[in-house]
Amino acid sequence: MTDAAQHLERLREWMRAQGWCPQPHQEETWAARAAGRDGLVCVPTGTGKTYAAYFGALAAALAEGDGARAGLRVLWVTPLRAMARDIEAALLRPVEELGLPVSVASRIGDTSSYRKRKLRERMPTVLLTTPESLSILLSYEDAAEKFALLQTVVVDEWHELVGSKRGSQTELALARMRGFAPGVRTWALSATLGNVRELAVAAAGVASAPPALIQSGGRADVVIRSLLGDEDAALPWFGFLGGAMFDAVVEALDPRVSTLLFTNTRNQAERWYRALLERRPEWFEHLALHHGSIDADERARIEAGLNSGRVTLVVCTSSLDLGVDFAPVERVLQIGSARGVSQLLQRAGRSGHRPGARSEVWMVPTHAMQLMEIAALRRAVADGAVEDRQPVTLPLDVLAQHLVTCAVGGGFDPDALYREVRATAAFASLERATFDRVLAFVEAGGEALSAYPRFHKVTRAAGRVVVDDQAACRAHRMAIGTITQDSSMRVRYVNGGTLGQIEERFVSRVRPGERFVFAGRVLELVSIRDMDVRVRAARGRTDHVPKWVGGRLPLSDSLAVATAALFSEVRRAVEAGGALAEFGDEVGRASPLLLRQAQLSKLPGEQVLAEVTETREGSHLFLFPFGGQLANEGLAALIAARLGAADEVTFALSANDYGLELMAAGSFDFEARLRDPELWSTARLDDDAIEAVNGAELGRRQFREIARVAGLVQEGFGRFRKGARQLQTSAGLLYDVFAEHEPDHLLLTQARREVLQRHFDRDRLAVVLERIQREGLEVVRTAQPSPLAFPLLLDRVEARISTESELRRVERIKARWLEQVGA
Amino acid sequence: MITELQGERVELLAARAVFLPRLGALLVADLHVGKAETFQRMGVPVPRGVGGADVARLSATIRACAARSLWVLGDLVHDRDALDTDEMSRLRRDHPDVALHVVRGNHDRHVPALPDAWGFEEHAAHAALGPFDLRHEPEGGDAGPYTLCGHLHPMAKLQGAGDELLLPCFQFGRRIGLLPAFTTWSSGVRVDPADGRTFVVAGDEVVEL
Repeated sequence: MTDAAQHLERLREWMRAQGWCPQPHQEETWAARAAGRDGLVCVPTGTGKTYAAYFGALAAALAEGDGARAGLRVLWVTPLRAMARDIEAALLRPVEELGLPVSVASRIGDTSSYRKRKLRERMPTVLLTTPESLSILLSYEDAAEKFALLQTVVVDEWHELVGSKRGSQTELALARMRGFAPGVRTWALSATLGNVRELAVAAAGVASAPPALIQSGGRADVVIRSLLGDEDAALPWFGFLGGAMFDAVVEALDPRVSTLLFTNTRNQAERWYRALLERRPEWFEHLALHHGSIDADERARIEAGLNSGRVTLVVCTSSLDLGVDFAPVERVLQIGSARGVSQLLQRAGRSGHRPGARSEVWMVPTHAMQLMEIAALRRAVADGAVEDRQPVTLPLDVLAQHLVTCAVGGGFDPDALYREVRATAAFASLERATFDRVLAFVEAGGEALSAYPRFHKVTRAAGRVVVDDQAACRAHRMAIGTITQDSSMRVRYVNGGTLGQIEERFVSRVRPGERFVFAGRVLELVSIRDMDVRVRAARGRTDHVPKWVGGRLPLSDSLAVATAALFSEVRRAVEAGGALAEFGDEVGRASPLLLRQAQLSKLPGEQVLAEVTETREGSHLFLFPFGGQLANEGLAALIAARLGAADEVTFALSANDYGLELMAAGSFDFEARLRDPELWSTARLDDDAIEAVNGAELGRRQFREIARVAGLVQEGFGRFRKGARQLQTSAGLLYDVFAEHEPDHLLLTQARREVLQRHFDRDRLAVVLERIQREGLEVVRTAQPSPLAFPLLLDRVEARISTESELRRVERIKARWLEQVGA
Repeated sequence: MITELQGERVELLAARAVFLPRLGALLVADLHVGKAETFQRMGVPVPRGVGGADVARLSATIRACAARSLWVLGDLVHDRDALDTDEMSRLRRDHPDVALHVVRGNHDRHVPALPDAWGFEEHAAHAALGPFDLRHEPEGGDAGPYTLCGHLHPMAKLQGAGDELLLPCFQFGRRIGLLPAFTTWSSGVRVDPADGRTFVVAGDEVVEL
């Protein structure tokens, strides 16, 4: 038996002593790690994937004997700071109980600067960190030395990271560490997704041997129920708060039964928590609110309370989707749309997740059409229609940040770094010319700063790219965290005590003395000082609840397709005079609305449904391709751009998961124009999409994040921060400045490319267009907006495409004002 | 757009300027010369030529209305980096016969004195011109002459008929009149069109609301 195998056997015995039997997926993972492979473990939450990845890594470290203490051997990367504490406890437990000669520590954003300094002096054997903290570690001058002994990197909740730029940031960091420690092995842990093979490669890098894929057999056993309330409790046509079901939810809750109420946004969670507390003040001891902006200590208290049974009802967001191993709850409620199969499975898995136990989730619809979505969801789960999650490719803003990180962290040789970067899945197709442009951008600020050597952050010394200005190094480290966050401010009581983080944009609209709800409390704003929002507890009620950016996720492809298919079937049944009850409770409950839709318009069927109507506002086109929010937004912009190319016209655009709306100010004959086959042509799709991106200012919106990540806009220099007032500008204005003076700027190009990827996924768009070309549209002229159209009217996004002159638009708005004054 | 203010004929130009034909005076506010250079000094790589476009437009406007004097209602410069630019000395050379005046604004305080080559006559708080008192910030005007000023970068939001626009504007209240920011690289304060006669810049035209 090898050393590592002996150590593993000891860990296995320890598990048995705890009453846990090593699971097959754990044995498989340990064997693969022992064989020196990279891999991905994809098993349901709570089945022990932490120790699956950990024990193989720990055994390898212990095999080094006394060398285990010589430096960093195991690095554990987790996407959420909120989870770090629990994971650290889990990593520490066998070490302490077996008295193993290794040290375990964490370095995350919350870690005190004293601890951080200590950690820099002496790395522990096992280090727990976040992608941002990892990048910061890589930015220290002695990074190469610190990571030289590393054997295993574990990336936890990889599915959370992989579709975002934090995922690309992690991929680059992994490649960097492989450069420092060539033998290092990567193990990713992930929830169930459709494209796990691709995810595994993204973690292991494209230059490594194919990674092992470890999945547990069998499909998740999830029961989906709906909370429908009284027969006559009518659901509204639109809404995402869920007020109509409030009574039914209160009725269903019982503080003796541990329950998680999942909401889709932090704003919604705050509102539900307050409403429950007002209705049932006696639940105060048992009721808690948990979301990602609430202070870490408070969240830890809630998690501990949940474990001890003191807290039984928790209103939460995706902050509790992830793998903190608290005891399973008895019941899970999902308020509003589930958004996707994968997310629902994860949330459902919070209940009864002992092996063999069945998970159960109660869906609480917030509007009537959601009943259809729930019925469709049940089918999609039964069909195992789990979504893919596409890794981000070629995010040059992240690369720009990484290059500065590497330059600060001991410097790099451009040729070697280019090879290293190309070994990631995200940058596998990166061309040398593009790499050089990004390097020129960080080195000399691109064209703009080329004439100003004193502004250059990055310089060359003996062929290596380095940063020697200490102030620039510090500034860069401070900026590294910005991939995730909008500029946020700390909320704290006047007499101490932190409540959590709130977005600057919300705070800027609250005046001292005004009240708002945060962390489940009614607070009064006292003052704003630097990045601190000082508050005191207040009495009474207020509807002022912050909205956090990035709140609402779009419906997944799988779920959108399943919902469209269900509509088709229901329509056939209605036309054949059949009963809707056979489709289940939800469809039965939705039948008044469905019949109303059929009466005012048509139910969506095989052809894409188009509704045309006139209101006092103007002429409307509603189209229902069920493409999901992002693709529908793209399609709306594309059609608007194509219609606008022929006529001088201004469109307001709106989109949701089911469909899209174009509203022309004034009158516009949509019906005639829809017959033009050119409108649905796939020829010139790419050119027209770019036109649409520029017209609808989508690029301008996307640029905000890119400018921040690439260090163009310094979010720290917010409105409330002292000094640096001369640097105030918005990313939007910077976008305009670049568009006018340096239109092919690297980051502008990047913004456009990201919009094309997000909203104009060529394949998806082409599928919809070809479908319309092939089968035609079903155009219905309606006397008033139908139930499907109604939400699009109410929830209009602020996008416009115009091919009219500003003068004409001003004149028309003026004319309308005069009409109103006259009337 | 030609209108009348305090008995004076006033031309509102889409270039974001006011021309007083009787006095041959061109009035602008908030040029923020050197803003790009300030960003560059702080390491933010904004493109070159941003400020140059504003000054070129100013030069063309002076020529188009054959102005005899130019009055900048504050914030001629953004920060001291403006001193590194040569746009304003070029403006001076291109219009040797035009009298250049600036009423100092809050940003101008970053520069103790303007270079001689710029040829500006500086006014500390305000300057009198015809029936008007020229200032940077909207103050005064209660008694005495009518105030014309900049500082706020006023914008008007137009909403209706299913459309929405946010446009730079001139707004003339009872005692104070606001000029739009001359520089295009700025956002602004939204004003309520009901607070006075409001004129928006719509492309190449100025339109009264």
